[in-house]
Amino acid sequence: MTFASPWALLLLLGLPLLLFLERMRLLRSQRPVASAALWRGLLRKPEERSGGALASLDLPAGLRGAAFLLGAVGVAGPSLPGAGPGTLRILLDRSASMGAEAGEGRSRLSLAVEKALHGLEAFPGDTRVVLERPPLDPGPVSTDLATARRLLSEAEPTDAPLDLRTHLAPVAPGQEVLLVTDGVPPDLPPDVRVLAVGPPADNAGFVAFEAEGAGAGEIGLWGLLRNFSARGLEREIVATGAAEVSLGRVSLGPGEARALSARVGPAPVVGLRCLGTDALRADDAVLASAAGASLRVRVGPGVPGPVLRALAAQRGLALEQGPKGVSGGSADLEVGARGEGSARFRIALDLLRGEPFEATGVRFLSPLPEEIDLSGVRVGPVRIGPEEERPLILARTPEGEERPIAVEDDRGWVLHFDPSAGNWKDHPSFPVFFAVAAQRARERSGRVGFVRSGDPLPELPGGAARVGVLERPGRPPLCVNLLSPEESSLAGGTAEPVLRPPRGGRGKGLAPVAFLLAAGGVGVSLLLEARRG
Amino acid sequence: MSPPRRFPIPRSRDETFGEDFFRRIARIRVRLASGWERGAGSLAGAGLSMRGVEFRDHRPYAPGDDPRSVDWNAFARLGRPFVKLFRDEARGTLGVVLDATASMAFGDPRKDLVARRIAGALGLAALASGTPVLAALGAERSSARRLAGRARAGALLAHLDAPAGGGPASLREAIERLGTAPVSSFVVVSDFLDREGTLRAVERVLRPGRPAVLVQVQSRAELEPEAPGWVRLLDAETGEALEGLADAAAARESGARARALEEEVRGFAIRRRLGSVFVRSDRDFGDAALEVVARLEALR
Repeated sequence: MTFASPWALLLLLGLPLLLFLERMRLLRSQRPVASAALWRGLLRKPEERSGGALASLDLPAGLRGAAFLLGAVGVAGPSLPGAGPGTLRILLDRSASMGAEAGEGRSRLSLAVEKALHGLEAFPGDTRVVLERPPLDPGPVSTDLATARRLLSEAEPTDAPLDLRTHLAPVAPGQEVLLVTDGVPPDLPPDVRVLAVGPPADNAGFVAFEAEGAGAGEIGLWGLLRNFSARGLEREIVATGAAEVSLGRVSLGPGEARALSARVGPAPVVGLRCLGTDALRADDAVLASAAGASLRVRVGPGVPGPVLRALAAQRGLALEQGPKGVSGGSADLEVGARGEGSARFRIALDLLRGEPFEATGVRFLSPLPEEIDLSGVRVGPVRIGPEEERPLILARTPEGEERPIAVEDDRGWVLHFDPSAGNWKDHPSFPVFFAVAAQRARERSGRVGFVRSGDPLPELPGGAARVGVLERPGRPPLCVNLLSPEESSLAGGTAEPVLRPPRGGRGKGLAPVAFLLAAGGVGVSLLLEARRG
Repeated sequence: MSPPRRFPIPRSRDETFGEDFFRRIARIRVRLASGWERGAGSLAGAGLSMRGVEFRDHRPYAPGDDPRSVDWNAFARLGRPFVKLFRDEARGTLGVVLDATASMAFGDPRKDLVARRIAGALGLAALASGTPVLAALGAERSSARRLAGRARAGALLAHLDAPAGGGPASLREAIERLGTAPVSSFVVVSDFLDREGTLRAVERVLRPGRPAVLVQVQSRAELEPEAPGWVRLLDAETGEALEGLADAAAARESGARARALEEEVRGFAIRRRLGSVFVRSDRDFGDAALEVVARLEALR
């Protein structure tokens, strides 16, 4: 069962209060009788009963309690799986393979989205859509058809792998689900319609990787490369350390795996890379970092308190302050007023260049979650960012035009306003902004590599739940890539389903039934009370 | 001393002696009158004795007669002793004790409604046959009125329609008023919930040759009570409070106690050679009154 307004279930916290009031009411009510002698010694005291207040309730009180329970559930808007006709769930595969070229310079994702949008044209305008865009998806978006079409058209592939089975597991029989992917997993639920794109593609990837000190300041690397395709492949392998060292070309037969080893000079990030056209880029690089699980963040002087607090709230960040940091070396992420430094990713705050204006409203753009409601957010005086950079945050001018006030350049993100001014710092989107920035910094630092020795699993990007860490006594843990053959071989189909509008209009679910039962319970309890009284 | 009243006793929604009452009385009037004449009324008709206030006749003196009853004037004139005979008023009065205490104001219909109507029907029948009625009422305060003649029918019913109230002490006092009163037979209409005190009072006013009928009125709610759940029960007469969970088992046991009470009253009546009539509050009062008259006839 799902709930349209799950927060309404908090009303159930009132149930104990109702029980208490009911008991108080009963204690205070008295019933005159012709003779108490007829009842003397027959009434049971509360201490003789097990179950406390609940057990002492009579039928009308129980009915009232049940009515309250049903009422609270009704307010929450329950609906059985599949009982919400009119709602279409779209599962859009944005895994790395969807970025593969599908011809004419277009990606598979672009082609799939085009087909999906074409199929959705016949749908009624009031159709509700629940859109999921794994991996690296903040969560399902429940929206109308027009917004869903816009979000679909703006979707971009990611570098992460995806296990579709985990997303299809909650699909209940009868639920309207449209799966847009290039890799159809086996044993799909029968009611899932698949819009598949792209032919089966080649893929080879690392399935195991190890990095450990080899003496003389060198780091020994070991990896296992496997061919997931049904035909022979050839790949060039590069070891990454203080410098990149080519290990030459490796030929792999269908399903064949080969172990590779190398020694590289010390570097913040070391690993192996597999070069070549590949449908799944996620497993093409295996990287390790001496920094361990934490992302080193250098916070420059003058960073406002709200920004510090937002950073401190993120998981897996090691904050450093000072011009060179505490531990020396380069940081993974630098946050400062001017954004200077050698970090691979930076957040430059309050670069007050460009033409100032007063923003009447702001909205996020990808990779920031665009579904966040930013109405009511005031960011104070802002300046127009460079138009040639990729915009991150758009602000509306008093004339109604939208101008970028935060952009992404080749070094990181740049804010053209003071993030601590206005009320943005108090809005839920404020820490989200820095969470996405940290994610971006991880990608830039090379830590989004598919496996990383010693990384705890929760820190890995989506799909990495299938990365196993083999603990070995006395030795560094060994990371093992557990990619499924179905995903790695990209067994995509080309058949296009006929998209049908979901049944009926917008489903009302079980709320009317719950309200009806609640009203009935109240009515019967009042009737019983009246007869008894 | 009257018990503390914890809640107001409402007036019965039905008119006790209204049109329905008289319509029903009219239908059973003949049966009631004939029964009365055969039973309780005949006691009054035959009653001539040497004590009384209304002189009726003389008869010759016989050994054993009270010398104080000898008419000495007649003896002087006629030379033979004669004794004076008077109408025996004691044997010609019907005592009706009505329990109108707080406990009678329960049931649907209320117990006191049928109790008052039974007492009223018996009283009217007695007055119609020329038998005086001593109506004793156990209510907020006990009271008794002696009424004679058809013309006092209205006063009798008004007396029996007094508001309910009071407790067991009031009822006992009403019964004990019969002890010194000159009644030839009596009827006690009560729920006998104060079984011990009420029956002891009845026992005190029993006299040889004074037949009596106990009419026990109970309601369906007492005989077949529902399980009220978690309650605080308050005795309407004594103010005793009981608190707890009254479940189905407790309700069954309470009903069994009410039925056992009926058996105890019936057993007492049998032992004391009294009549007993059991009336549920939803029973027709006319049938009950006829049954009471039949019991009086049987005791005769």
